[in-house]
Amino acid sequence: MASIMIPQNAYTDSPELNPNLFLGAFQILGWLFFHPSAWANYVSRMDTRLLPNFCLAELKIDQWRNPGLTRLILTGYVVYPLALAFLVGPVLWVLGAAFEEATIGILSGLALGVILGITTNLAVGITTTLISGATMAIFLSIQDVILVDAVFGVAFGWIFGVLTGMAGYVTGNIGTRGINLPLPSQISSVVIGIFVSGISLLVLGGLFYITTLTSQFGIAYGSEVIPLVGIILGILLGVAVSWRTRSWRRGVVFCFILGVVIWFIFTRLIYGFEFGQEPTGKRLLVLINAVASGTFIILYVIPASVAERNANSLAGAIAGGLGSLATYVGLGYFIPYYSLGTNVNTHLVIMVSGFAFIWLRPVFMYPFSIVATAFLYRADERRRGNSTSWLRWHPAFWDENQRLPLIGLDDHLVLFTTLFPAEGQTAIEYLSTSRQRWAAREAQVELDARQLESYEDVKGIGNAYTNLAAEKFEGAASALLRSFARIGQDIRVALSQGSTFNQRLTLVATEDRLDNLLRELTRSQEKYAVRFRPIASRWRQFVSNHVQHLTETVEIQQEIDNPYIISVPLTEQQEIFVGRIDISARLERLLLDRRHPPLLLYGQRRMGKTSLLNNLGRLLPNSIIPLFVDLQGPVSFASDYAGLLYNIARGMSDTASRKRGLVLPKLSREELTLDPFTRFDEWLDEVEQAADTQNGNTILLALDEFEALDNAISEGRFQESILMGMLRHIIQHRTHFKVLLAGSHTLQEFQRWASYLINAQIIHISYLNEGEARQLIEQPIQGFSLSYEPDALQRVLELTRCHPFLVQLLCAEIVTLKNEQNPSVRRLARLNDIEMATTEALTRGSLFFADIERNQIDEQGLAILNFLAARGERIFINRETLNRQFPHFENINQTLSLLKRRELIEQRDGGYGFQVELIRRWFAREDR
Amino acid sequence: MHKPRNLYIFTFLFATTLSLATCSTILEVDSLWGEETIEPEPTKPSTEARIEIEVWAPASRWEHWQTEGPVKAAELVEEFEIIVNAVEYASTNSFYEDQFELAAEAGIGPEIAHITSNREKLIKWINEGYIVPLDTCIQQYPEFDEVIEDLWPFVTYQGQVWAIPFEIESYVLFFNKAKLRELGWSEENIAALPEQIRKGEFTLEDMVGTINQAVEKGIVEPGFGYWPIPNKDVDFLIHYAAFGGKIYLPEQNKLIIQRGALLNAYSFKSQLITEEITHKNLAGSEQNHWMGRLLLRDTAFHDRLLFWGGENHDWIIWALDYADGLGGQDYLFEHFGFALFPSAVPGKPGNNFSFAHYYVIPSEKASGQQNQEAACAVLAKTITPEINALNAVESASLGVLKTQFSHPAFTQDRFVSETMYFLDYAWYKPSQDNYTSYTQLLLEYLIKVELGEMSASEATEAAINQLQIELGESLIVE
Repeated sequence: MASIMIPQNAYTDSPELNPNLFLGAFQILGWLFFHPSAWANYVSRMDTRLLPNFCLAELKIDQWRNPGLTRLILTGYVVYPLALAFLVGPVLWVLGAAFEEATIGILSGLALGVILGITTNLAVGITTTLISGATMAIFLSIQDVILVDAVFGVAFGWIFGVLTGMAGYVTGNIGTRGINLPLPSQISSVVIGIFVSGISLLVLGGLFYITTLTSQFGIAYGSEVIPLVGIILGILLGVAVSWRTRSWRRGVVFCFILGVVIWFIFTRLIYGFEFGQEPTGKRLLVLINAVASGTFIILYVIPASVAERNANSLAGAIAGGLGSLATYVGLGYFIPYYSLGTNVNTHLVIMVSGFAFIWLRPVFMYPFSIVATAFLYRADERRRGNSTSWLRWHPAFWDENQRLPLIGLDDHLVLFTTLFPAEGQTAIEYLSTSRQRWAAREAQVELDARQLESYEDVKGIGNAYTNLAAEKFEGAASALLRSFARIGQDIRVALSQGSTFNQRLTLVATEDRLDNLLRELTRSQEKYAVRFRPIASRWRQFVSNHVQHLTETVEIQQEIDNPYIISVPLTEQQEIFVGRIDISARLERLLLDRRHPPLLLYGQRRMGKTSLLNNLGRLLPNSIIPLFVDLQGPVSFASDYAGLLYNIARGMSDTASRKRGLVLPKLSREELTLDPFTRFDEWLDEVEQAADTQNGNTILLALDEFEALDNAISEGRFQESILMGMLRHIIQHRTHFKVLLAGSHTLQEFQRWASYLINAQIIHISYLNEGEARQLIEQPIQGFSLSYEPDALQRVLELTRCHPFLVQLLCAEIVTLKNEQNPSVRRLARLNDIEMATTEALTRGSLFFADIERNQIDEQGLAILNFLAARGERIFINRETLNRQFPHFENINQTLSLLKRRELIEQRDGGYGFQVELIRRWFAREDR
Repeated sequence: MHKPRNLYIFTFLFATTLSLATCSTILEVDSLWGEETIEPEPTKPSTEARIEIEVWAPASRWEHWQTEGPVKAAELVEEFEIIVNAVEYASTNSFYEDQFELAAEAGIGPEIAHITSNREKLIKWINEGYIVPLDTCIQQYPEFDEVIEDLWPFVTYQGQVWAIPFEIESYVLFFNKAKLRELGWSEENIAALPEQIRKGEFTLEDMVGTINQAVEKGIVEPGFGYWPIPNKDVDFLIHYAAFGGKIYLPEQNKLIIQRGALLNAYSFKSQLITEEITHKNLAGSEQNHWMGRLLLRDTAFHDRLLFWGGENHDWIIWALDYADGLGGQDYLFEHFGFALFPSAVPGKPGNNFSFAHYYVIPSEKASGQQNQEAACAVLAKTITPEINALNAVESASLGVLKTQFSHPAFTQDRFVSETMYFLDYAWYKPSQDNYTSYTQLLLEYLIKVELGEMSASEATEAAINQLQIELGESLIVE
């Protein structure tokens, strides 16, 4: 099988980070903008304690030592600004900026950007701030203007608008991870944040007022007060840190550090001028930028940290964005002709656009993505036979938020999967949970269709159900594929039948289903009908040909039809199911009991429990809706409660549809993820409604092989109290539900069930009565062509004791034996035939017998059975003999009791002997 | 276990933070409000008869002679042994004046204090008894005879003189020579512009025409053709005067408003905004703000303006702070020109609005000292050309003496010598007590015109009506 070299985790939400610092930096940027799940997983891989939107002040000392985190901080606050400076420098040079001016612009942009980013990140989530430093740097670097442009223009509106807009975009992109409060609480958090921002503005305004009051020409003269401003800024940021981290100690530490740092920066900036010297040109702009940025940081960080702590990151971004509008109020107050309105409007428009960009970006990018899709597909088409592919560069794998369908992606997936099946399935698997799941579905449907049409005979079709992957997708195609899978499964079962008769019987039924499917496809307007109708037609032809072939074989060889089914439980379609009228009558009586006790259908293995449950639909009145769940199947394999309940619901829905044509409401696995039991309970309400229980209908929830669930509890996969509690809740509070458990153990053998299923009514299913057994032997189906001599018939009854499985096992061998004989003697069974068939029956039923030997009895029991078997047919051994034979057995009574409970031995005439001769013969065999 | 340690850490951090805060406040408390004490070098041996006096004034890098002048002048006084201690206020005027009033009220004020052309403040200080009349002092020293006569009326109240002028600040029209060159003006034309304005050959209309040409050719941006002086009440009066408007009739001690000139001035100011000759952001604001001056100087120096109004001090600020690395005043003379404010009437010379800075001598009540005579002696020497010229040249202001224009310090300084003729066309703030109300009212309606809330004619009528109501007999309407 072809394979391809692709990076590890290429088709996942956890791609590897490029080890190169610069390339990795841009990869992270890409994640933040286009692939937020990759970012979240990257953070989680770094340290599982970190939330995707963590802030620096939250970090513990050991986390600061994490090399991954060091790299991330280095990336955000050094690599990005540096990279941008390298890009901006030449541009400014080309544009003719003076070297000194450009250098001052770039360096001050870098410094302010880095300070802004790190300071903000102390109390605000990292996704908001990671690229803010770089953004600030690039804006300030290219801001080749003088004071008047900053005052009359909208530079700050742009800078801060872009910062808050980007914060909104990235935060919204990452998702509202945090405390998910109701909307009113989130809004109130935003309002509180803005209110705090207003107070901060007043404090800052007061300080600036003092500064300007003491100066004739402003800041340059108020330099003596600036250190105080620095410390106050530090205190305000310290408050924000305390708020965000809920630790006053961290607040104090950061207040101190920030106070000193800001004090130092401000004093260095201010004292860079001589006494009374007027700051000019770029230096003046740097000063204005520093003051405006400092104000912006405070007015962003405080409301953002308040709202982020009380609500979530998105509320934080909104509060920060709105609160920071006060920056312009501050600037407008101190600069009377400042373009306040224009800046506020610019900020608001860009900010709102940033938030809206979450939804708009995919639309803007769609045309480019479509072009890329077509280009990559064509490129891969030309590279057929090559061991490389362009698929992993497809936008579907890096643009997580692209909601619009990337037309052509499905074709690319089909092409890729055809060339590289394993990698293709990985890619489809990834996309099946993405926003481009339609493409995964379409590709998988096409691949499945190709698979289905590749079969050349019924044997191939019999394997179809194991290979279909598109079933897991919802939609019309899924239902269609499930139909094909079921047909494939039926054909496989048919082919596994020992007798030609049963093969034909099952195949004819399958042929009918294929006819129905063809009719449906002919009538259907679904787009898939055109694709799948030829496949169904082809399959039908194969089945029809095979049935024809079997019929011809039977006719040529004058074979007796062999209707006996020994490998699987009998379904309601199978005519051979006989008897059990008494049991179904009792069941009906108990179901109508208003006390609605739970029921336990108890019987030994292969005694016909499942066959009975399968046939309850026709045995019980229509007002009782049997919903059958085999706990031995996917239910007990589930790894969590969502899977368990999903599989139970699936079983219920399936039988409701098959047995009563009732369509139950859908219940997806995703719906059960958040709160499985509550959702399941709600679904049961919907089921009651759908079953019309208000008008007297009763739902019988039959849980077969309940021992499997007990094993899952014992293995610790599920909690006893939760599962049992749910079951008891259904029994006690859902009056229209009747619960029936079926198994080969009594409740006494499973104490935990007994304590929850109080008053359970036990229905014992055992041997057929003689009349039922005779019918099964002589007239299993209409027109059965084999007759029995009376002594032969009696011998079958003696050998099997009317055990339903053993009767079928022996009779099936008798028919097989007779079909091998000369046609002249073929249609009459004699005693001699019975004896010959018995030997073959023991061999063919070895699994049944071996199960008794290995799983149903202990060593002492085996020893006793071996001893009794060796004594011969219908020999009963008294207790004294047994005691003598097994003098060392500690509790022979208990062993004998177990063997009786398993319906292996019986007590007669004061002695113990086998109940069933055929079973005795198995234990008497030395070569077993 | 951790609590005591945390407490120690917290205490340490808190204490350190407080220390930093106090370091930047308490340790620098002397200079917190911009005070700097200058100790004079003793030039005479200390004797028991020596008098120590204090002089207070706002100061800056280019205005330090306001305090240093009296310090140096004390050395020239022969009648007394005087040492002058200078206290400089690097702050706003209003803050300085508040400080003076607080000190005067407490009787700990200085012996010499600065006051700007603020008649309301002067009258208040007179009425409070903070300052003494200086008629005797002026008669005592012949140096005061040289003071330009026009400067005395402003500080004359109830027949007595209360302050000594020492510096004249002028409002100037600056223009960008480089832009005019771009526009195609020859060097001769550029050099002749101040003279053309002086003669009334280049009017406001010509200025607007030049700006429109520059805007059309992309030499200046719309809104950057002409920026007014960032002190709008004065600025408007200059425009009003340019249209021939009179403000004050000294003979009757009455203010006057001339309807035609007012209407033309309002219309012109409105035109400046609507035709984007002046930037719209400058409309509707009083603009008398430190940021306004900073913004104007920065914008003008960076070649963004063609014409703009300013103070003569601006020149020295550009030289010191902006063009320091570019060649100082040589760079400025190459790039910028200055002139009287153009007339709107062809043939009528441009005008110049000026005002003086003064010294007052606080009373014994205000200073707690009886050193008024010594202070008078110091001031007499302060306004001598030798000392007054130092102040004028370093602050690019004009002297207050009739005789000092021939002093070498003046003639050797290009800016001062080239602006000396301004005084021939200068008019000063009137000493009429209602002057402030008069200018505030005109400004109020100017703002409405600039914002488009009133037409020029509506504003004219409304302003005149309001002036008549508020000023009554003090106003003559023509």
